[in-house]
Amino acid sequence: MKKLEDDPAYNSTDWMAAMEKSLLWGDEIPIGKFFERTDLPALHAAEPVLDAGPLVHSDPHIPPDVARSFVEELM
Amino acid sequence: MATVLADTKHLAMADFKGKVDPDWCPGCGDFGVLAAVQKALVDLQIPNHNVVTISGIGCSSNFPGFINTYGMHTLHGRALAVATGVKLANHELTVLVTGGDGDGFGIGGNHFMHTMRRNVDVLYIVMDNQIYGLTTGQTSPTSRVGMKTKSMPFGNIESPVNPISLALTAGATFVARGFSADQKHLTELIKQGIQHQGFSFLTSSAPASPTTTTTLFNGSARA
Repeated sequence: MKKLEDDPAYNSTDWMAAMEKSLLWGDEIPIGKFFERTDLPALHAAEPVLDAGPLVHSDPHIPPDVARSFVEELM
Repeated sequence: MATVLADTKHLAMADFKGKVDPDWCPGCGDFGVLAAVQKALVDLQIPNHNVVTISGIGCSSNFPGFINTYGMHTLHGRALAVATGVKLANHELTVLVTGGDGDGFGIGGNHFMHTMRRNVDVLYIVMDNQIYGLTTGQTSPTSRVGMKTKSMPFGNIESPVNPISLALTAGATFVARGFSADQKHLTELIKQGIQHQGFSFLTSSAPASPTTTTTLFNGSARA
């Protein structure tokens, strides 16, 4: 096992370098952080519906009769 | 991902101990991963009720029962699909997904790929022992060529998947490998994975007990 962070030249934001290291398995098995990028939003952050807060805390504002008719339609 | 330090009580390792003791074989690498996850949660002081641990099926997928957080033990290979639902329902939770190489790269290979490209904000920890351990030793997607198992007693003839390369090409935004016997290093990787905003993939070499499988600590295989 060889820790990637022990190599000061290793750059974990370099995707190509990570791919090269990923192919090593044998006398040298790299461990540690191969790659990280922070410029992409997570899925929940890309969904505007969730901007107001978690879905579980939101009021769906669906009247019971509307919900019931919806369920009956699907049954 | 993490909602750090919300309660006033200082959390200790005992606070994350589950009510059930692990039933893993003596010497299994999964013990090391469990301890590292508990230590990471203590270091980050994430309250138990803000953590959900989700798994599929397999030895390592018994994980949610051994840790004191919310937990879901789901279907074989489907843990990431369930975790996506949990995260989208309440994105303030810290969502941990645990499983093995068969569960994640075999049965769950489809979900693995799509959860990465969607950049779902969960930490996926795969305890890779290169074998189906719960069923006492069949060839898995990461079994090395030539490795002798109960399903391939004359040696594996299939090329293994490379989880790190797979994660990189599928668009994972955090990719790491740890070793279950290096607690300090593994704990740091888990902490980084929890704090990363997006999909974090951490494969951990977690050799199974030599009494049940053929994988040894040096990565080689025996009959």
